[in-house]
Amino acid sequence: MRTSMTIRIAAFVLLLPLSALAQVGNVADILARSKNYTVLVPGELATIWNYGSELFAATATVRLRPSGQESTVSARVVEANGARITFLVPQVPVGFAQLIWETEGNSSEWSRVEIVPSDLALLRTGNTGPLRAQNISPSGKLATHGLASPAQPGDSVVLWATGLGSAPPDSVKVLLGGVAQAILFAGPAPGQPGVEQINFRVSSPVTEGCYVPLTVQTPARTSDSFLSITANGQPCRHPLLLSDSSLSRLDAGDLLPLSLLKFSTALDAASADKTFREETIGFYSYRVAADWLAELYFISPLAAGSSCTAIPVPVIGIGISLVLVPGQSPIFTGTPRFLGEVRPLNAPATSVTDPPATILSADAPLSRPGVPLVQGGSWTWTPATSDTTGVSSFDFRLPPPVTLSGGSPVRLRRDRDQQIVWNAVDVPVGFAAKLAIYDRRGGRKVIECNISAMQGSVTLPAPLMAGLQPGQGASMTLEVTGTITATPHSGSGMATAISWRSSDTRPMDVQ
Amino acid sequence: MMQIRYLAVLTLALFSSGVSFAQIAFIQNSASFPGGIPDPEFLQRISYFASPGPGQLAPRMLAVLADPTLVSRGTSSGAKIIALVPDRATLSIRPINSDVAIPVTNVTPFPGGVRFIVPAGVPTGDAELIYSLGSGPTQWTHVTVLRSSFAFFSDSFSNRPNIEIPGTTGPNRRAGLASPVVPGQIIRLTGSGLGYGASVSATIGGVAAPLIYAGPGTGLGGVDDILLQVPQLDAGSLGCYVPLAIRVNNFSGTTPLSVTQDGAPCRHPLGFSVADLGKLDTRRSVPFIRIGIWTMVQAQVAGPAYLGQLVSSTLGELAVENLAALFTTTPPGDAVTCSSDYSGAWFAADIAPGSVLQSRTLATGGGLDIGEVSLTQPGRPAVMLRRIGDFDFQLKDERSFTLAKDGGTANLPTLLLQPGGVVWQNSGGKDLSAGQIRLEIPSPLLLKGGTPLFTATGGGLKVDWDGSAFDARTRVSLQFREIPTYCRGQARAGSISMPAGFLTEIPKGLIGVVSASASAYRPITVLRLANGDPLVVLFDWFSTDDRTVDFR
Repeated sequence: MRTSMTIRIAAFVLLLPLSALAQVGNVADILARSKNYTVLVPGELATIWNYGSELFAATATVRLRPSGQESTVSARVVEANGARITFLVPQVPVGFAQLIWETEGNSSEWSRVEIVPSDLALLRTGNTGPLRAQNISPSGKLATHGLASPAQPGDSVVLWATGLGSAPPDSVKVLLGGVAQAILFAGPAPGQPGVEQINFRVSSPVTEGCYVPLTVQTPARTSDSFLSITANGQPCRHPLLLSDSSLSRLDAGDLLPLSLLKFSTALDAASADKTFREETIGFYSYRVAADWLAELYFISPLAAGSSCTAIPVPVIGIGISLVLVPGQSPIFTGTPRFLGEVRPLNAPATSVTDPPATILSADAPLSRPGVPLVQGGSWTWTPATSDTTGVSSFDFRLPPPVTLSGGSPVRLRRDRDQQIVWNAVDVPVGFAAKLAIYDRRGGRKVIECNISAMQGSVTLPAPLMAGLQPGQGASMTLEVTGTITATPHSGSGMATAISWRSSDTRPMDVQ
Repeated sequence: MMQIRYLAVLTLALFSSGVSFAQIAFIQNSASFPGGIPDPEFLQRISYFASPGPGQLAPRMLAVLADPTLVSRGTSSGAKIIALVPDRATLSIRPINSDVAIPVTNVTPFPGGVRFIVPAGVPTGDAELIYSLGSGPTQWTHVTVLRSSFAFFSDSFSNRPNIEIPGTTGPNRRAGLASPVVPGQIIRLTGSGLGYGASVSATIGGVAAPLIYAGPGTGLGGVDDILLQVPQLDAGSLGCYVPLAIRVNNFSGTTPLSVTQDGAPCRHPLGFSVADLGKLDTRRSVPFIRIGIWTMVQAQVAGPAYLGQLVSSTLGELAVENLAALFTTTPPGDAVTCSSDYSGAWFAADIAPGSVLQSRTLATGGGLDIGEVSLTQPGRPAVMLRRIGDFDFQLKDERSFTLAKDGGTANLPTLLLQPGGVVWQNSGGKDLSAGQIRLEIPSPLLLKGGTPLFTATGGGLKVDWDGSAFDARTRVSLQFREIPTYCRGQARAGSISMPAGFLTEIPKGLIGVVSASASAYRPITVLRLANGDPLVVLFDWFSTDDRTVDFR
């Protein structure tokens, strides 16, 4: 019946209401476009965001029907416009519920939501930030927080959030640069139903920077974000050396041109004597907002030691399998456009083209894998012409590719803790390492570890490997990523960042 | 030596991860892969019939390492393409926890992949297939070696298994509607992956068909033959679409087989001529027109419900195997059957009715000119269907209404087409002269009770409706959207239950949606096009009612 149903459902799409196209959630997460689940907290400000082409009406009603009850509880609608309905979540019992909304002239629509006691989210743009925050100087001067107007030690910072719910206000903790901050106030924002306010004083000394990690902890949720901090409140020194006016433009929501030079080097070791590298160097131009730029440079606090989790098998829901269709691979058949070249110190230059070329090396033993194209050390970028990319020449330094210690296949004992080691020499601060184990190559990820790449090793706890079977073939991939700042040779160049990715993939034998 | 490949620009996101070429390869039984065998005119792919999962190999199997970057040399449709099919390929299989890779000796690259025969001595269990194409680097992918992992080759006219009658003095003959088999005859099915210890059994018309042979064929390496003897059947069991049910290991499926007492062309239930039967045997498809009347009730929130009705007429090409499936689907008994997966016999038997809904360009070129189309009911204005493109005439309607607490039909808005008699007619065009067909429309499916429905966690789910208006050919299916579970039964039964065992994964308090649907899908008659081809007329009545369910 599946084929039949699929076709019929497709034919009925025109008849369906728009409920399937709407996203429901905490207003902070929805506006930040970072979550796609439907968890609501009594008393919080929530949003139904319409993906559809048809617009919501200016008037709307919202109700919640808790699971097991026939009656509904009305919600107070704060705002309804063409894109979204914002409302205050009424006091309803914890558990599943049906969120029902009606807009003028349209059919009722609904979504399943889960009501939880607390799920604090910070009001922000982007997945992590920038936050919607204000600085208050000791003299009482109020300023909107941003890259061009950072906080400084002694300032009070006001954060805005929603979803504290039943969590005690004194359970809120704030860490800035890893240092606990003094909370001045945490609780409902006066005159703003559904909104919480967290005030804290920036301690001294504190790390300076445009993207100083900020962690807000509540018993139910930890949120990672960042603030801009300088010693004197002057604009922060951006890793891309952006001017003060550019920082102000980002703070105001403008887009800035950005070029990205992307390096990728992937080691693939079928066996100890058959290893090759797949390497790509690409050059891309974008116009980016502050939140996109933050994703490049924000360094999420990474746990020390073992930070591995087992990825559970989804219990509810019908999985969608990605089917690889032969003949659909993107194969470029035209003439690549020459954009420029990159040259390692004391080595030949490599052309960078659009589309980028992927270089496959010849087989080599794992013990002597040969010199990679994307090697560590000093490099120089030289554009074809400044008209082509708008970017001037610049120098930069790359870390050496990461390589797992040991042979191939990786033989793992599932009954004991296993330490996985890689070379961490010259890996810059903040580069993230992700170690993933798949039940088979291209299969389901069963274990994932997120650690600082500088750490050079991680311990896989035996209990996490209990799901693997003796005699099972699996695959392991270590991936290290990070962003490096380029220094233009002339001041006229476009801001350029360098993204670097290095991986090592090997078959595993589980014993 | 380095190799260079160019990737299309798919890197719009700043952090899109790199695509590894090594991961685009996957492994499957060559019987499941287009072009995986050297003679595509004789043996093609298999779609649903006992197809094993990708990466599952068996000793002696003819297998394919699929790699879409291996494209043909030269030009295709005037566009320059990259010549990447290597002259040679090197493969080996390394069993897990072994340091020794077993070389694969029978390897043939072709556009889209590399064909190889799995070594006979490869041990069962997980393994890595290690391969190098041409002068490229060595890559690897995961496989599982089973004792047996079988798939049938299908014929070049359909997705059904290829069935031949071995010739005693001449070439083999393909079994078909115009060339049926007779009881006592031996038939041959072809596939790959029997390996060792395969269990094979079959019935024809419900009677056990003796297995004469199952093992390596005498022709191409890696290809297996299954020889069955057609059993003696009652006269009532003979016909154009006698079900051949075959089980190989854990997979089973049913395919139609034409069986007559004397080998003469069968008598088709739609009255096709012998010439028509010959065309069905040698064509992939036959023209059809589907008259669709679909009604949908959505009562997922307390208060107003929603009703949609879509009436349509669609012209298209009906795959011959799907036409066959319309006559071989097991008639619904009174028993309710439930399933939580799509595989095996259940899927094979049910895929066909929906598959006909695809519209293809007709052999006559473009859409057929049959004139304007309308549906008329006594005492009501005709519903004129609007032509949409070359294939479809459609008109839709949608309204809201308040669902009565008791589930009565009192609040249902007036439907475009009411239950009862309706006349479909076309005004005539150059491809089909004017005509009309009379149909009977059942009442829409409307569940009893309001919304939400309540059920206890750990319990089953039962829905009720008025079954008195439905005939024995109308079936009902019940689907809970949150899990892949379906139950089917008779619409006239008036109720259907999903057993508790299928709902154990649902947590307490979850709110879900249950969808009940009734369908009566059947061929009605055959019209004759101006070019002499038959035009099969299908009636597709479909009605759904969706309700919210709380699991307390």
